[in-house]
Amino acid sequence: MSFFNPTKTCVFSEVKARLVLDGKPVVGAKVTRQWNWNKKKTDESVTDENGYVHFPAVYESSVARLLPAELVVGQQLSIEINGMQKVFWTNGKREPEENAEYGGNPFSVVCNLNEEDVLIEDYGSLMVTMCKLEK
Amino acid sequence: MNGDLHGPGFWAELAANVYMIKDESTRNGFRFKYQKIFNMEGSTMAVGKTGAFYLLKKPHVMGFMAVGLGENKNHAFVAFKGTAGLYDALTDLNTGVRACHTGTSVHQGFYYAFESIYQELNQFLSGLQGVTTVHCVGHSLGGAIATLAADWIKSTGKVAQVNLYTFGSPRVGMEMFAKKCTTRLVADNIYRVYHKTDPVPMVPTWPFTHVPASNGDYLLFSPMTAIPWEYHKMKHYRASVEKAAGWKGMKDNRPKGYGQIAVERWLQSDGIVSFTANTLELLDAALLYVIEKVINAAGIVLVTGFATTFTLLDRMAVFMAKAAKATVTVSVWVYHLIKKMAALIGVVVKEGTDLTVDFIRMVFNRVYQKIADMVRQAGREMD
Repeated sequence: MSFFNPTKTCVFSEVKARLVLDGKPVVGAKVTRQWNWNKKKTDESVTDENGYVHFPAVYESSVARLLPAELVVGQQLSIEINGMQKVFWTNGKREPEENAEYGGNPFSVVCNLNEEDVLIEDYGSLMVTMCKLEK
Repeated sequence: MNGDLHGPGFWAELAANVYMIKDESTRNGFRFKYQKIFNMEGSTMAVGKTGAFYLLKKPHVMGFMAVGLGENKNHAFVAFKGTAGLYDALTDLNTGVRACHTGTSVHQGFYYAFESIYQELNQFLSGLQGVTTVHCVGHSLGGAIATLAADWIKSTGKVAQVNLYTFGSPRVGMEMFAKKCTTRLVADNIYRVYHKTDPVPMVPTWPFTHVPASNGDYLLFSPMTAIPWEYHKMKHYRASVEKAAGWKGMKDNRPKGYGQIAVERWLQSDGIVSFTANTLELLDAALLYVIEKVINAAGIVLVTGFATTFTLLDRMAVFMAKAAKATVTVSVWVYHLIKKMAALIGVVVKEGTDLTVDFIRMVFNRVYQKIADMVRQAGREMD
């Protein structure tokens, strides 16, 4: 995992998300993060008393990076509310750097789960979410 | 730009977004993006037949096939992406050629990749109603598969027009394939877009030839970079297409071709030969120049039949060795060409050197190895 490792790829940047439902923070809800470069993997976290959830950055290595192939990492965030799984963020990560999801901005978002999903194309991929980048 | 089938932006975007069919997370974005353009009704975007929308997922090729909606209802779309596994085939010097589905010789690796999706493509085509134009699109190896698909679709006669859009595509077949495919599709319906410093369109080297066989290509200027395939990336194609002045601007960029005198001068010169994109372009032009001379003057033909005992490289070596022993007007150019190629790999060819099949084969092999290395050079500088 050295700096010079050419195969090292950030498959999911550090995530800070605040989840809101009906105007209130979503407290103690399980959030699942999923990514898929060469294999589908997940990790989980729980929202705190202010509705915040946090995930560290994930790096993986693959020799696929040594070929002139396009990078595509499937990414998804979902939350469990009242026993139901709701996907609130999907994306395809096309660049290996951390924070590439939001074009170099830290992945710090507010997600009002009452709002409709929209397509966001500002960062070179096709992101679908109701989350808004926190200024 | 959504749905503007006439501008290059739509196609560059589609060639980039076909990569988003990877899994359900990425397909979500794809569905949002194209739900008003492609008929995805009833589609769960699962692999296989799902209404009007087919998702293709094979070991060496992925893609989708869809029918247009609204004003695009007479159009169908077939888009591909290649997988990493195909890169080995691309740079395999001893690759064989196979007769493709329309009868002429193409790269064996691409043939098998196309073969793997052929049944679904056939099924999709059979189900089309009222469609007059099929658009085939792909980046990189996906462009190669799109080329084979376009050629075959047009050969069936089921649609009036087939358009082909490729970005950084390698060469798919031999000269006869390129010629027949160009005639079949009509050159004006072929949009081959490439960056000046993208090495992938330079392989496989001769005798593989680009489609269209005529000068109908669309060039985007790009700088030299430390990472050899930087300008092969789809994000750069999208950005360059965005900046270009439409199809016309890209067409105006294209080189007028090296004149006969320039090629002859280069072949006869004794200067240092370095390994750059420009040299490869010149080498390509020189190869074609010499081959034409050999075929026209000595009547020697490169046999590209289906016997598997000889690789393509063997046949090229035999062809050149025969030519080297032909009339002086021909052999002198073969000598210059082999000398120039040998210089690229640091081998000095003196006048009077016997150009045997083994020697020519060695030169070709090592030059091709060097080109292959350039293409798949393990991006050690990356990150």
